[in-house]
Amino acid sequence: MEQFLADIERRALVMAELATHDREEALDIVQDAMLAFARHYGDRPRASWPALFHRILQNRIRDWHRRRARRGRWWMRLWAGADDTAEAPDPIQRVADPNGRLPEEVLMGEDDQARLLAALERLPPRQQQAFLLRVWEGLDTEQTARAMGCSTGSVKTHLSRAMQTLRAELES
Amino acid sequence: MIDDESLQQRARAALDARAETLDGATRSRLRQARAQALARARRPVATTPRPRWAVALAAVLLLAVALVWQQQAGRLAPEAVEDLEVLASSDDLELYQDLDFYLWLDESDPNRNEPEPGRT
Repeated sequence: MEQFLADIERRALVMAELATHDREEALDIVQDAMLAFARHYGDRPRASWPALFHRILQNRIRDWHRRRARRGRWWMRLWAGADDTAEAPDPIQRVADPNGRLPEEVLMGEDDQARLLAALERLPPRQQQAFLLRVWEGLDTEQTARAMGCSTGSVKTHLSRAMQTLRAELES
Repeated sequence: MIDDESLQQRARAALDARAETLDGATRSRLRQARAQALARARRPVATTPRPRWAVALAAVLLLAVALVWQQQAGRLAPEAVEDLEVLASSDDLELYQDLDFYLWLDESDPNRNEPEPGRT
């Protein structure tokens, strides 16, 4: 269980961060998903863990989107205003990666990757989920459908549209 | 034109790079979250007694309201009765929301006859 979570936690964070555009929110979502998974599904067969974990993670992300929609646009603007006066980021956040580069430097040096990630971030939530689960996590269509709570046909449609959008972004 | 395989490879590389270059503070918080999740999973589940009388009372009240409404409205749709049963149940609502998913899991679970964890 520990090894499974250690293997998946960074990718889960990136997924949540692409969906929420917010590191803190993403950390909360991943922590919540890990707690629920470890608490209720640890004794399930190992082969079912990825689909189960992603089901929980995607549910948490979906809940986040719902809460955000409920808060409404005016509330988001209020928060955005509050962020402007927020304290500077913790210096620890600026610790360099093991390769000696800051994330910003990595992105600046690799325009192609940065453009791709930015395009991924802008994808509609369902297309983003389908792309990440199928292409990055390697779940098959049925597992992805189960994790997303939709039909396999919807997964194929979302994935196809995501590919079209990303291709257009890279070729533009 | 970028073909599918090339696009997917590039996306995987970009995503892997992002996951691998997370800062130390974030990685530390992920480790803490993982440790917390595992510690809670090992801890025996606290069995707080369910206020079954309260659930039963709520169910009776709901049914009473439904019956009064039925008499006034003249009819009650069968779906509404099913919904009332779900709402009055002491089971977790999430179980009903994800019923299809759990059925699929049970189909693919070799230990399907064992009781479901956390749902005692």
